[in-house]
Amino acid sequence: MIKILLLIMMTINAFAQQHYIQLVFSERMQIETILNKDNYTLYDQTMQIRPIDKVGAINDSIVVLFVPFLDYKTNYLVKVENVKDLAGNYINDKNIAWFRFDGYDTTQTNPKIKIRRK
Amino acid sequence: MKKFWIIIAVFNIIGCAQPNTKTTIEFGIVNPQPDKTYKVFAELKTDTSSSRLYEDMDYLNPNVSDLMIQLTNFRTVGDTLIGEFTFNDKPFKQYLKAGLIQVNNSNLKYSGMTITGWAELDMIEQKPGGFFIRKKK
Repeated sequence: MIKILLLIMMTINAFAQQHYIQLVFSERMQIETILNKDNYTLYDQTMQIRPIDKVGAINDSIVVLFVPFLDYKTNYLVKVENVKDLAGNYINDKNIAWFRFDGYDTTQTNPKIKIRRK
Repeated sequence: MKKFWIIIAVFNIIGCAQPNTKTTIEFGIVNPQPDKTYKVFAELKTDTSSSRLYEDMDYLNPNVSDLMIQLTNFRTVGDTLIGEFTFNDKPFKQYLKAGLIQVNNSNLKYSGMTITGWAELDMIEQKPGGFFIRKKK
């Protein structure tokens, strides 16, 4: 059975204010099915559908969903349907995965700030 | 005649209004990193008995995003990136405390908060007013 291992990684394109979500399938897939944007749905934690700008493929088992800026401290759910593996098997239509976009990093060195009157 | 005095009284009230003055504060980010972005916070209060900004806090827990300000007129002086923000003066004493977090552009993780101490808005140290050189006669 095909699974989305859903390694979700996010980063920002500082100019476009965009994140990306990386999806990893458990086997090789038919590339034309995994590049179809309509096969993916992104929900926020209120189950509102969030837009997906475009889909790119790194190879035939890893795709990247480009999405507008995600909110911190928010859960998201990705649903994948109608994608097929090389043998022509469809993914289970209940195949969903969720992630939380947190952001707080205690290991990062804090910056320094000072104030003065102009 | 009565109307005339009323009009004069109204003009006097308007004329006595406090001038709308402002204080511009420079915020210096020391040693900024090229692959980071910065969020600056400013808390302005009439007393310093409590504060919403504290060292190493997660700015979304508790959420202090409403204190975020957008600096302008950025410039770099030595190892410091300086931006400005202008506050409206009030007829009473105001105290300012600033906070800063750093966001890592590559993964959007952000640091804990760094803060300044409370400073009285009028008394924040200013640059020297004048400086010149000349040849001694």
